[in-house]
Amino acid sequence: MDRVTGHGADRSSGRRPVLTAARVAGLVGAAAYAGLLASTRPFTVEADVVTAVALVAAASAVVVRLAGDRSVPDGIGWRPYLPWLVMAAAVVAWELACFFGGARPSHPTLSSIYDIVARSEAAKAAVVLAWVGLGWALVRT
Amino acid sequence: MTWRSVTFVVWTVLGLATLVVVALAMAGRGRIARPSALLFPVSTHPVVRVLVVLGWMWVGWHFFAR
Repeated sequence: MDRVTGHGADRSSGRRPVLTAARVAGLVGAAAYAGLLASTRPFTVEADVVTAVALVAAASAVVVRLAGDRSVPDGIGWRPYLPWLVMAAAVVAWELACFFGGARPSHPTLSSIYDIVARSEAAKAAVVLAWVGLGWALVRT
Repeated sequence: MTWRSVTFVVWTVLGLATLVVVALAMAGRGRIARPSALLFPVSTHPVVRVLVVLGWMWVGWHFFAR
């Protein structure tokens, strides 16, 4: 498989089981953590402590990863990423325009949209789960 | 149309445009990186990895704690 673009399939390594005991344990743990964090309210000690658990875990994993990784970086082209960079720039530009544009109710930012979503504990748990999944991917990649 | 409506319309357009990029990446032949490959640059340099993880940490603290 092309490591840069993700296109093409690597069929040489054979099929590995999708659900291993470690993966199931990880998913259950992540779901439990998401439920726990979703049950907290921002600006409380509980929210600080539960959020900090993931931050400390990620920071520790990155330190361990960096300490053991001595591989030479590969050269990558930027062209496959150009559409994503354009989209990211557009989102950041609109976020800043909303942030500095005036009253929040008239110019809702991503944060204020999240506040609307997070009124539902289940929806907040889903956001936490996505955040944990992204963090896991960032550390593992 | 109120500014609030305009703002939500733009956010919706940005979300749909992102879905279009995803679709084009999945259907293309390598001209656009697939979502699964977006994290590849993170693995190419330790400084990039640290910066991206710090950004991830800030997002979590901003949304869930403060």
